[in-house]
Amino acid sequence: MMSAPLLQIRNATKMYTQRALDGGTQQIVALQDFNLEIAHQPATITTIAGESGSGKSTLANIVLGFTGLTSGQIIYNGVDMAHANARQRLDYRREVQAVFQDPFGVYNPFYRVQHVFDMVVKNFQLAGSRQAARDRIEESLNVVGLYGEDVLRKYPHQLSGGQRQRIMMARAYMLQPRLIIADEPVSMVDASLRAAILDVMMRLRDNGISFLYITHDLSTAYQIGDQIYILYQGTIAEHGDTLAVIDQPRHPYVQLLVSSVPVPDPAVRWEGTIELPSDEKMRTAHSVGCRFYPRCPHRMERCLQAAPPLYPVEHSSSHRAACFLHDAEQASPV
Amino acid sequence: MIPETSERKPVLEVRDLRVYYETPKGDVRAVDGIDFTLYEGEILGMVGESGCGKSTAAMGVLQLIVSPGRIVSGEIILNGIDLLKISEQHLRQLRWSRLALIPQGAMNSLNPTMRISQQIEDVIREHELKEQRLSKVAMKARILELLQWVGLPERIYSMFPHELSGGMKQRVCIAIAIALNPSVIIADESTSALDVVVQRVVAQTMLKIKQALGVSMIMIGHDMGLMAQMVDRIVVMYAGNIVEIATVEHMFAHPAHPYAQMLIDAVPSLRERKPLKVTQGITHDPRNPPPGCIFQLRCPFVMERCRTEAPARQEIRPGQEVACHLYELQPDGSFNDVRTSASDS
Amino acid sequence: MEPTPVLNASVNTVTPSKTMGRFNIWDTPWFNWRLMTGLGIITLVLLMGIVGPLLWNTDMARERSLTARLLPPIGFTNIRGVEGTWEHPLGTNNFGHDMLAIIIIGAPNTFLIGFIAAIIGMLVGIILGFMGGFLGGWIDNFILLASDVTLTIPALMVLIVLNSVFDRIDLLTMALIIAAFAWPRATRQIRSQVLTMRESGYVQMARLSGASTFDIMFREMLPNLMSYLFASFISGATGAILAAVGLETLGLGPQGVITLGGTIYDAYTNLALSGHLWWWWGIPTILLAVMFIGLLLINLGLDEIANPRLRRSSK
Repeated sequence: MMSAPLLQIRNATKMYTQRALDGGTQQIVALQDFNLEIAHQPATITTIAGESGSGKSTLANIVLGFTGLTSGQIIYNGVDMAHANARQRLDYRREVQAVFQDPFGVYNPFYRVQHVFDMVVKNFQLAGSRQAARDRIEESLNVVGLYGEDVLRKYPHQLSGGQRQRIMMARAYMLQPRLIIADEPVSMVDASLRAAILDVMMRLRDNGISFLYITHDLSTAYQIGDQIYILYQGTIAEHGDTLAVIDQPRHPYVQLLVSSVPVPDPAVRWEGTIELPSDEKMRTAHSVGCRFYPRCPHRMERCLQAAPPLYPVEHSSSHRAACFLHDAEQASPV
Repeated sequence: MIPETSERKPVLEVRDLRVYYETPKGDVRAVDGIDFTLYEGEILGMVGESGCGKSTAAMGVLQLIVSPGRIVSGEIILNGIDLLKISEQHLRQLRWSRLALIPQGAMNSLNPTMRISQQIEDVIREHELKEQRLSKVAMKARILELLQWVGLPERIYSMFPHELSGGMKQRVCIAIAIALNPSVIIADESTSALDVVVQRVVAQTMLKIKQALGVSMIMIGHDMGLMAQMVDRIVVMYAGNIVEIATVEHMFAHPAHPYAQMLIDAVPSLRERKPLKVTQGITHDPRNPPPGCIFQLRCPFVMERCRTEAPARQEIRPGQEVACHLYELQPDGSFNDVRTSASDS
Repeated sequence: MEPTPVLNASVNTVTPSKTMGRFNIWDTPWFNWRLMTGLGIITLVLLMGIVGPLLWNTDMARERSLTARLLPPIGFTNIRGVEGTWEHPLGTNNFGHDMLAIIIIGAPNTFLIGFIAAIIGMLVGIILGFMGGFLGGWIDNFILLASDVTLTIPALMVLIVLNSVFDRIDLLTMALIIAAFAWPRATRQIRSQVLTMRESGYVQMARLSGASTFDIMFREMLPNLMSYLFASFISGATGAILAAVGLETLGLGPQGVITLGGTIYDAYTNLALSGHLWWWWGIPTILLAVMFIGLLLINLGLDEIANPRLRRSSK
């Protein structure tokens, strides 16, 4: 039985105008024809990986409703969010939560940490009595490995970045969301404290909460992600099962990316040197063809004429790469 | 790698450096007595979590500590000269011509209103010696040469910082650092804000420069993967103290100090999925370090001795020094890890 | 990476630089000498106004006395050779009003006009600043337009006209008139603070937590503005008092109310300047100078606290 997926993003495109250096304006494409599906069951961690300018932050903002789409649809539980009524919007607000990159900025410095929970309890009517609220908060904190008596009465600056992020996860968990958007949750946290946060994400996933994990760090994605989408300048370069994509990348950009991640082993050093293009062209609405063309070691004439669609790789319907190199592999229509 | 002989020439020696910050509630001991040596032609990595003092140590070496911080004690010997004992004027001469810095957020330290050529020229003019003053023609040639060293095209010469990408700006900062051929360059988180591919290019640029110019470098960072690619030896700092110094091979193969072990364990790899190791333990107030070992509150192997006696740094094997009571000197001169000998019994 | 100020090292530290937003009065940064001195001066002046009437007969400010006219302050002799007496330690004016009584009544009045005007201006500023800064759009444009226009109107001229239009001006009306020109500055300042805070992480978080616009504005953002508002209020009050004194000195102050500026006006219209009656205009002037120095010191003291140690821009 085919039920609607939890979240469906269809042909999402986001453009905005920007002042060009010469004084005129140009249209910048932040996201182009982006498609994504997250199923209800089982809960998964879907990674959106990309570098700066890839569009991953734009995607986070769109899913969270902080900015609108130029075209395309966000469909949550079968409901197109552009035409949702107030009730459906409220449900969305509750069922889709977020954890952000900066573990300090998200806390109001005027209040103790407890304030973060109180706000949620009050606005979403999560508890009937004070005691019920305390219990619920305590339970959420325990899930992330913390205790109320240790942290609730403290001010944000008195806790470590790792603790603050875990508290944010507890806050999200308390609302019993279906999906948590985690936007670079560990990049501003010390390396030795990251494992705790990643561990919480996996545990919450095992508890039935899906994640959209947005990051530039492929290593952490490799450790915890189920599915991965790698973005390049607003388009999907490759997507599929995390292990498959990172172990055997097919798109030239992803291959370059994976090989450039420094391996924590002194015996394994980068092979060869690479050159960056001396000119970084901004992607405009008028550019046609594959965006990776200027840097691609395998570029062909064809790549300039049209942007490659996502082709299945090696007969796998879930692992796909947007590269004409793989067009030849399409022996029969999938 | 580094020559294994004991005839390596030290280029920078830091002895018992202490940098404290004054706060109304007591002194914060940002750097609390560190000793290390930088040898000629090597890259020394400094790692540790934020607040461990690695940036402060770098600032201390360069004598760029500002109030409320102050250097309480120590010796910083660069090519035989103790930087803490010379005049400000002498120091200014040495800065940049002998000892250069690529600061944190270097990309943002470029003056947005000046062309790149102007900024490089300013630095050279400011620190060059009177006898070696470059003519206008020679200056232009030198700047173009520097740009070429870091792999930037000539047209960067007359561009403004905002016209460049992050990686390009970072490489301009590297060019500025090598402008006067210093013997030591300190790079503080010089690739932190960059994308992976750009980071690789910048890192490889730095390696190339080190090879070609014979510069010795101190690389401060937190990305262990990057350290593995770039450095020869690693200094691990915790809360203002050095807990381990080891060659990069030793550090990754068998880190000795429990904190170093934690750091190595925490490095996620792209090769295999490992179960995540979650660390516990609380940290101390930097104004009131505990007596004894600085790491006792977080150490999974803490012993009674650690609470009262601070461990001295010992060389447990050639190329690896650690300050930890877990390693005991045996009568035959080798060192034993008490954890293995305990499990043996 | 977490920001590297060393003081941010670990879990259990409380550092002064991170306690802005809470009134930790006993923390050292607040004890800077400028702020303390300024507060001291203003407190003394206000105390004089409050306690004064209990210790001194302030009716003497209004009672005309034919015998005790033109007396100089203690220790001085007027041109008629009469010496000052302890009965009127600061002398008397042309009508026999006691100067000490005058300043005991006048100082608080002058203050009051300034404070009330500043409070009104600040309240308007908070409401309009928050509305414009947070809601944006045409509301913001309208508020900006209104405040810009008001700023360009020559206030003194309008105040003079208004003063002549109203027959009897009391203290409150005077304050309202001044406030009418004080609100744009406060509005713009608060609006720009709101614009910055609007983009901060905790405001986004509040939105995601279902907080209403009202909640966000007044429960999330406003408390963080407290110290800023206080400083803004002090500078606003200074400006308002200055405006009030200016008007009073021109004879446009509230009638029937004793004020310092009004006293100066009385003095020079009664030819005290040429009549060697320096204490009539001199004493209020000195007191005004002291008050302004006090306010200035408070301003400087607050500035010292706000910059650079506690500047918490959310980047």
